[in-house]
Amino acid sequence: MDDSQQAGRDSRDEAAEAVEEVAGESRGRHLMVRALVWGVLTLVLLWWFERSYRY
Amino acid sequence: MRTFDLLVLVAFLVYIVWDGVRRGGEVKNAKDYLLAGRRMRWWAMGLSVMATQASAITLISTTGQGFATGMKFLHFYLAIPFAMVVLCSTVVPWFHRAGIYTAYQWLETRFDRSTRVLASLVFLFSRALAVGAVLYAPSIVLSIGVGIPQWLSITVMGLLCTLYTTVGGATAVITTDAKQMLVMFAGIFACLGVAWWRLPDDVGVSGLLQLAGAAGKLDTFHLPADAREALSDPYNLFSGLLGGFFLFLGYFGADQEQVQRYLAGSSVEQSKKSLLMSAFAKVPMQFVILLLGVSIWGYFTYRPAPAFFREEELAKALERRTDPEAAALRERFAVLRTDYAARVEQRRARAGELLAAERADADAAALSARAVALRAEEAELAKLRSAGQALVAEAGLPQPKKNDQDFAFTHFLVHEMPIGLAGLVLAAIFAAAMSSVVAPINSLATSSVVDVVALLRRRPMEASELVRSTRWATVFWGLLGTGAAFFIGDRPIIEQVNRIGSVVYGSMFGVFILGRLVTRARGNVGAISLASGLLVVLAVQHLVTNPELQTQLFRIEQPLKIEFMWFNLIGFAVVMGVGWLLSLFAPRLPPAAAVAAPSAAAR
Repeated sequence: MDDSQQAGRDSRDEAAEAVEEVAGESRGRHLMVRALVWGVLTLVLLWWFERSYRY
Repeated sequence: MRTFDLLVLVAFLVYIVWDGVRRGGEVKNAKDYLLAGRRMRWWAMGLSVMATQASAITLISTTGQGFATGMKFLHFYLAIPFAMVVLCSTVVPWFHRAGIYTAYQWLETRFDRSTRVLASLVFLFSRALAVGAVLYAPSIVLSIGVGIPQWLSITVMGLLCTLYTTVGGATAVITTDAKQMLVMFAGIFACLGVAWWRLPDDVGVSGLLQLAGAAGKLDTFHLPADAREALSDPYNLFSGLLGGFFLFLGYFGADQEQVQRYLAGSSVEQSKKSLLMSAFAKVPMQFVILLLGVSIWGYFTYRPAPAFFREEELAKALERRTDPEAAALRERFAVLRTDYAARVEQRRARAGELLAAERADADAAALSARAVALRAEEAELAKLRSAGQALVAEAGLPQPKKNDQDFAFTHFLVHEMPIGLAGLVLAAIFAAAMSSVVAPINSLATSSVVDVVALLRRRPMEASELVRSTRWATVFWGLLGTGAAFFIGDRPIIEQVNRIGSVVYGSMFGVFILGRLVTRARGNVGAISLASGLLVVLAVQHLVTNPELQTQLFRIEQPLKIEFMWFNLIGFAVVMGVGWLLSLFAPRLPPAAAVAAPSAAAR
């Protein structure tokens, strides 16, 4: 493998890593939004649970 | 305990030690030893984060709280999902990209060495005491409730934890923590299954929940009536969501014990996911543990239960004595048991009336009247249990101040769990204790070597030297914690350890956020702000625990009580305020120069 082939391969690897990092960040953001929704949903569920068994 | 159950426990311990020690073979360099080679998957780190937080006393005392006072304690955890999201947007990417071993290294890149060393010393001081307390607290309950000698459980847990943490480093900690967390889940669900399975057919789980609700044990959503209640009651929505928010930001974001778990991730995304696992699972897990306590309460409503959980121990102690005082105590004990048996019958009758009214679709007023009657019986039974507690103290039994409710879980384990499953639950208690010991030992060793010892040397530490020194430091902290567990005794040190956590967490997290948000705050501003936050919180704590002092200083009629969770918010606010004020006197620098590249200090 000559130097130009190696350089091309390295740049493809770097590009793939960058794409993966961006995709990872996007997945992370989605998960964080879901965690926030889950936090609020937990409060609603606990309110409903407490209210269902209040005498 | 039956022999087979003890064999299950021994098999579990042997497996965990073998699994931890064999990870030593994977250690090739400092990154492997301190950060598990940064190749951990999110689920392993996530389970480890949860296992580190859940100690044996969490398992035992939380079920005890569920048994005695219900599910109010759940408020404590409500802020976790929100805190985790903030951490995933802030410190997780900062620390991960900086390529550091400890959170405090980041502070040197942003402020100066004094800030890093101060933060590290605060962590070392606050955590060193905790290791002994984490070992000591469950050993009392295991000794009295299960019959395992206190010295044996402390020695076995302390030495085994030290052994496999020393050999296997962070990889051993995370992989064994993950497995121990699964054993904890299995133990909790096994207990819940048995408690529900053995409820009378005409009661069932729905009847149990109706009874618990009527007895006021399902209070999972409590709005305080006023600001005074919000500050003085630790278990309400405000203190849980606001005070708890800063507590968990500090605990997961600035405590090396937790930071070191998620720094082991193979990418920022993996580290974020590991924390978000707690965001999704922690509140449901605590809900189930508290529900287990409530279920044990429901179980003993329909099955023979002791008047108090140390009844058998007291009876044996009094039988051995021949003095006149013992005779008087025996007489009072007999009366108490008779009264208790009668009250239990009455409570069962009130419970039956309430469930019958539910089945007959009675109106709200009729149901409410039956709930009031049930709560009145509960209050009488609580008084009798307190009288039992007083007898335990008068008879001179060890640990007279230990809450009787803390023995509910072990009583259920020893007397009600079937063979084999009892061993699994016992293993779950050991798993909870050990997973809360290895993480602090590992992080204390890492921080003491990386943030203190390495800085005291004139030349930089080689990787092999770093691993060797951290191994020795692990032995030191492990043995110190094990030894401390023997000397803690019944002193109020455990309470102090818990308080120290809340004294430091808010301030510690504040200094990280200060570093990011206030670009002009540099140099020793970090250390000064951190010290200010700690001192103010200590002063507030001293003030709120001394009502006379409040009256003298402020001439107020009703002294103010502030629960410990709020200290985190106070510490955070003081650090940010002092840091911002001091930054006003600093010369303005371009943002690029103000925020240095953190990797510079990653050594």
